[in-house]
Amino acid sequence: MSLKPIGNQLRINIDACQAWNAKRPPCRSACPVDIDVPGYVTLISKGKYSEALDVIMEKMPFPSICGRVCHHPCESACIRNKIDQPIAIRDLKRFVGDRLIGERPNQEIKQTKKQSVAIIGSGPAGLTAAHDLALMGYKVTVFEELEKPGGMVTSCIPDYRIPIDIAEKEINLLLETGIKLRTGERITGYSKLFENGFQAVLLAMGAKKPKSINISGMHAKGVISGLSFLRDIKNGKRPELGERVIVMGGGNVAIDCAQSTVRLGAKKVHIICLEKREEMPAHEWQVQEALEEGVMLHTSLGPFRIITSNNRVTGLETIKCTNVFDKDGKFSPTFEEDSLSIIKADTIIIAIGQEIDIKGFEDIEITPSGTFKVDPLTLETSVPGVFAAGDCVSGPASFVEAVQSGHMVSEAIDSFLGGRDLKTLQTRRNNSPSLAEEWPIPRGIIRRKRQDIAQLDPASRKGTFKEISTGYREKEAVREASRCLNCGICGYCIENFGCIAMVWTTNPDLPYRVPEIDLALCVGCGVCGQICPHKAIEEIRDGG
Amino acid sequence: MPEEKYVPPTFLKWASGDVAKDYPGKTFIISCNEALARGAVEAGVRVVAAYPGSPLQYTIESLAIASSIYPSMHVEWSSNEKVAYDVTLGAAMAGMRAFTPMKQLGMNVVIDSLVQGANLGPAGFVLAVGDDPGALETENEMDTRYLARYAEIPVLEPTSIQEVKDYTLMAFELSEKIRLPVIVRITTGLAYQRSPVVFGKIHHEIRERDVSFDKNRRWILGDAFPWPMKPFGAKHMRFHDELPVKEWEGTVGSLPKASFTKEVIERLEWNELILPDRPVAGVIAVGECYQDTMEAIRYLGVESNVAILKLVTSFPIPENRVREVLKKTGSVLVVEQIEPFVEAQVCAVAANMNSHAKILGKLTGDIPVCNEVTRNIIGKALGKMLGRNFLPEEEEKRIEKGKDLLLKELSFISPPRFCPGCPELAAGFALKTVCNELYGEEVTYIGDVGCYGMMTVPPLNASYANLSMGSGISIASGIYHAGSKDKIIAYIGDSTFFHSGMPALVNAVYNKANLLLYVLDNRTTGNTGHQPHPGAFGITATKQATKMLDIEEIVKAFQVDFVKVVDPYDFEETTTVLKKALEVEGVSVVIARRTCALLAQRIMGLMEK
Repeated sequence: MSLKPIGNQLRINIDACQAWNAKRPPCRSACPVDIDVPGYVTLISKGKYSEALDVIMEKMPFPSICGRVCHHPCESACIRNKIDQPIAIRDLKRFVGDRLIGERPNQEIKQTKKQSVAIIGSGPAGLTAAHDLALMGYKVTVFEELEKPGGMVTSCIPDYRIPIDIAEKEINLLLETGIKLRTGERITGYSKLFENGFQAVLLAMGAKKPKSINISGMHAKGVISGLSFLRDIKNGKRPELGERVIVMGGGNVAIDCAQSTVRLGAKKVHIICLEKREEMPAHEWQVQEALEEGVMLHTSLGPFRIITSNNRVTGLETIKCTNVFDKDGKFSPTFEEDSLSIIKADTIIIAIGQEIDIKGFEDIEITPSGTFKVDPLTLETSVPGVFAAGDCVSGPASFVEAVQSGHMVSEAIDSFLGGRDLKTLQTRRNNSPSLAEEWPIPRGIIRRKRQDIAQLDPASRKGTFKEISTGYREKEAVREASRCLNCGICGYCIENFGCIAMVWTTNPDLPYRVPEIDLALCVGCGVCGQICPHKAIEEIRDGG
Repeated sequence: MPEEKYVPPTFLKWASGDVAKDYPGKTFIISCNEALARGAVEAGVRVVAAYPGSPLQYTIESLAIASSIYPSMHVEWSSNEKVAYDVTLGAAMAGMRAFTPMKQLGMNVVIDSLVQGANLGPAGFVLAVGDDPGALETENEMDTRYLARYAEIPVLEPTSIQEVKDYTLMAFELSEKIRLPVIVRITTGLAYQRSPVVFGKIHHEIRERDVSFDKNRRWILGDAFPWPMKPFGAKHMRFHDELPVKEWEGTVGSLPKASFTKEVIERLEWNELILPDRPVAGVIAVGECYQDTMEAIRYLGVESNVAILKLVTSFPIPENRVREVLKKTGSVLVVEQIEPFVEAQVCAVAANMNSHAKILGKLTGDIPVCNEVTRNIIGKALGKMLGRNFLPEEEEKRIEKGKDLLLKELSFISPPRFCPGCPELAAGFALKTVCNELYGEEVTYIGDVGCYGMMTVPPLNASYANLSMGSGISIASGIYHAGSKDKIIAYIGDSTFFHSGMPALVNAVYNKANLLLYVLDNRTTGNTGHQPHPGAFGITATKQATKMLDIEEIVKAFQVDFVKVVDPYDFEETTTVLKKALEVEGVSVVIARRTCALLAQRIMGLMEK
C-alpha cells in the first residue's frame, strides 16, 4: 500500500508567491509621500490604532490635516475601484489622527549637529522640512510672516473643511519637537540670514499672491480677492456681501469661496469658470458639495466686464468660452463672440489662481511661470545654500505634494550640509515598481460598498462653519478598513481558506512574513494549489 | 484513490473486547464506556441500538466486539436516537433485555417515544445518557434528569466505574421489577475515567431466553391496558397512584404502582448513609460528585463529623434517608452536576417535615450552577459551611490568576478549525467563493450539526446558524417563506441526512421552498469517531455487509429539481456545478462527496505507524 496520503503534498513557490509582494501596492505608489497605506489600513481593521498612527507618522507628520484636505490620489489607484468603490483611505487616516490626537507620543529630539537652517514659511512644506531636519539633528528656525504657523491650512482653508483647533493642535505638536518658530516676521532677502549664522536657507513661502485679470470695473467696490476673503473669515470676520455673489474661478479656492459665501447667508451664489465641467481643476467631491448647497455653477463662461453703478458692483457681463487650452495644453482661452449675457451681483469674488510673491528675492532665478527655478536633484536655487520647496517651486499644488516636497528638500539640505549622499537617496526613491493594473484579483471577493461617512445635511450647513464631514466612528472605520484587499501583502490562502497546514513564517531574505505549508500536516488535498491567485502553490512530485 | 473499506476506529483506548470475557471475579482495568457495556453484557442484554454521540459512542463499539463472541446479541448503529430507542423498546416489549446509550442531546430526540413508551410497561430496558457538565464536548449543558422526571422514570447515577458496571446490570433488574425504563446517567468527568473493575457472572440464560411478546395486551400510546378500557392519562395517574385500580383489577395487575417504585428505591442499599453520632453538618453527594466530595472531606479531615449520603438514585430520591440527614444536622450541602435537581427535591422534603436545616448548594449559590463541579469548588463550599479554609489563600489566588489567563489569553488563540485536507473545508470554501461572486453579502447560510459547524467561525464565516440535527433545511425553508430576498443555503452532513434530514428535505420540496441544500458527504460520522451509517461503507456496527444507500438516488426520489455530485477537491468543477445549482428555482441539491481526510489517511495506512 502506498504511504502517500490523499495526493502529493504541496509547497509554496516563494518566488511566485512573493513576486507581487515585492511590488508596491498601487495606493502606496500613488501616494506622493509614500505612506504604507495597506499597512495602516490593516492595523485599523485589527483595532490597532496607535500602531496605525505610527505607520502614518513615518511619512506624514499631519495625519488629521491630511485626513481632511488631501486630494487622495491613493483612492483613485485603489484596486477596489475595479470591483466596487475604493477604500476610504483618507478618512481612515483622519480617524486615527483624530482619535489619538491627545495621546501622540512626544518625539525626543536631540540636537546632534552644529549647523542651523532657516526656513521661510510655515506651510506644510516648510514645517515638514523643519521637522525632518530637526529629527536629523539640525537646529531649525522657522520664520512666519503671519501670526500663526500653518500656511494655507490655518490661514485660508475654511473651518468647515479643517477646523482651526485641530490644525493648530497638530501643528503645535510638531513644533514641540524643538523647532524654533518666529512669527510675524517677514524675511526679505537671504543674505542677512547667512550673516546671522544660518548655513542653509529654505524658501517655502508658498504661492499666496492672488492673480488678477484686466477687465473693466475691477476696482469697483464689491470686487474682492478670494484669498483675502477666506483669510478674513478664518480670522473671524464676517464680510458684508449682499444677496447675490459671483465667484470667478474653477479651482478649489473658488469653490471654498462659494461655499463660505453660502454660509455667510448669500441667497444666490454663482460660480463662473472658463473650463468645461470635466476640465475644472477643483476636486470633484468639492464641486459636488457646493452644488448640494445650492451654488449655481456656470462652466465655459468667462468674464467680459464688471457692470458698476456709482463705483459699486451691480453685475457681471459674461462671454462664452469655447476653449481654455490650446493644442499644446497651454492656457489660451478663446471666446465665442456675440454670446454676452449678464448676471446680477452685489459682490464679485476673484479666485482665479495664485502666484508667488518674490519680493525680496528678486536676484534668484525664476521660471517663466514665475516660480523659483531649482536644480531637479539638489532642489537648490541659483543661489548656493538657498533651497526652495512647496508651492513657490511648483505653483499652487496640493497639501500632500507640499509635504512631499518638504521631505525631499530636507534630504537635499542634509546632503548639502554634509549628511548622506543625495544620489543614493534619489535612486532609492520610487525604485520598486507598482503592482498597479495587472494584479490578479482573487475569486470570491464580496462587493461591499464603502462605509458612509456622516455628513451635515446641506440645509443645516448654512450659517455655520461647522465641519461638513464628521468622520468615521470606530465601528465604521474598522468595517471600512476591513474592506482592504491587502493587495500589498497577499495572504489569500491563509486568511480566506484557512487550512491549518498553512502557516505564516518568516524568511530571512524577505522583510515580511510569508506563507508556508507545514508538511507534517499537509495531506495533499491540493485545494490550496487551485485557489492561489498567483498559482504559487505546487505539488511536490516524487523524487523532487 | 484506493477502494474504500471500513477501518475500525482508532479510539480503541475506550473500547475493547475485554467486556465479553467470561471470567467472573476477575479484575480488569476498563473505561466507563466499557463498564457500561460490561454491565449490559452481564445482564444478558439481547438488543443494543444507538446513534453515535460523545461521550458514550464507545459503549456500542465495545458491545459490537462482544456481539462477535455472543452472536445472539444484536448491536446496531441506528439512523437516529429515536429509532434506536424504538428498536430497543421493541426488544424489551418482546421480553428481552435491551439497552440504548446516547448523549444528552440524544435524549431530546428520544423524548417523544420516551414519555409514551414508559407507560407501556417495558421490562429490562435501560438507557444510558451522557451529560456534559461544562459543555466540554457539546454546545450546551443540559440535565437529563428533568426529562426523566418529565417522563416519570427513575435515574441512577453511579459514582465510580465499578458502580457503572454494577448498576447498569442492576438497572435491568430494577427495570424488570418496577416495569419502567431506567436511565443510567453518566457525566463527562466519569465518562473518561478508567479504573479496575471486578467482573461478575454473565447471564447467558437471560440473553438466550425465548421471546415473550404479550399479544393479549394492547401496547397503545397512552395506556397499557386491555382494549377497550382505555383511561386517558393513565400513565400520569399510575405515577401518582391515582389509578382506580379496582376497576381494572386483574388486567392491570402486571404493572406495579409508583409507590412500589418508591419503596424499592427506598430499600436499595446503593444510597449509602454514613451517619456519625453528632454530625456538625451533612453532605448529599450525587453520582460523579461523590468521588470529589470524599476527596475534599478527607482533605479537610472531617470524615468523622460529617454525615454523608451517597446518592445513586437521583430520581426519585430515598426520602427517608434524606430525612435522617436533615434531622441530625443543621446544614446540608447538596453536591451534584449541572442543575440543582436533587437539591430541589431535598428542599421539598425539608419543607414537608418542617426541618430547619439549612440546605446549601446551587440554589443558594454556594456551588455555581454553570460549569463542571470540581473538587476545589466542593471543597470551598464545604469549607465555607464548616467555617474553614479549603485551600491556602495564595493557592486560591494562583487558581484565579490561572483562570483569568485562560479566559483572556488562551481561549481565543485556538478557535475550532477544520483538519488539514478536510473535504468539508474545501467544499465550504468553494461555496463561499461562488456565493461571494454571485450574491455578495446577500446570502443566508444555515448550518447543521457536524464538522461543518466550524464554518460559523473565521475565516470562512459561511454559516449563520447551527441548531439541532436535521434542523438546517427546515430553518432555511422558514427563512425563505418569511420572505427573505437572499439566496438561501442549507448545509447537511451525510450522517445527519439519514438522522433527520430526510423529512426536512421532503417538507422543503413539498412546500416549494427555494434553497440550495449542500450535502457535505464525508462518507462517515466524522465528529464522533468515524462510525458507519446507512450511506457509507455498506457495513453495520458489527461489521456485517449490508445495503448501502445512495443519497443522490434518495434525493432524486424526493423529486428535487437539481441533483449533482461533486468532488470538493476539484475546485473548478465544484464552483461550476454550484453556480448552476444556485440558478435553479426551487430546491436544488449538490452533494460534495469525499472521504473524511482523517479516515482517508487511515485507510491508506498512514496512521498505523
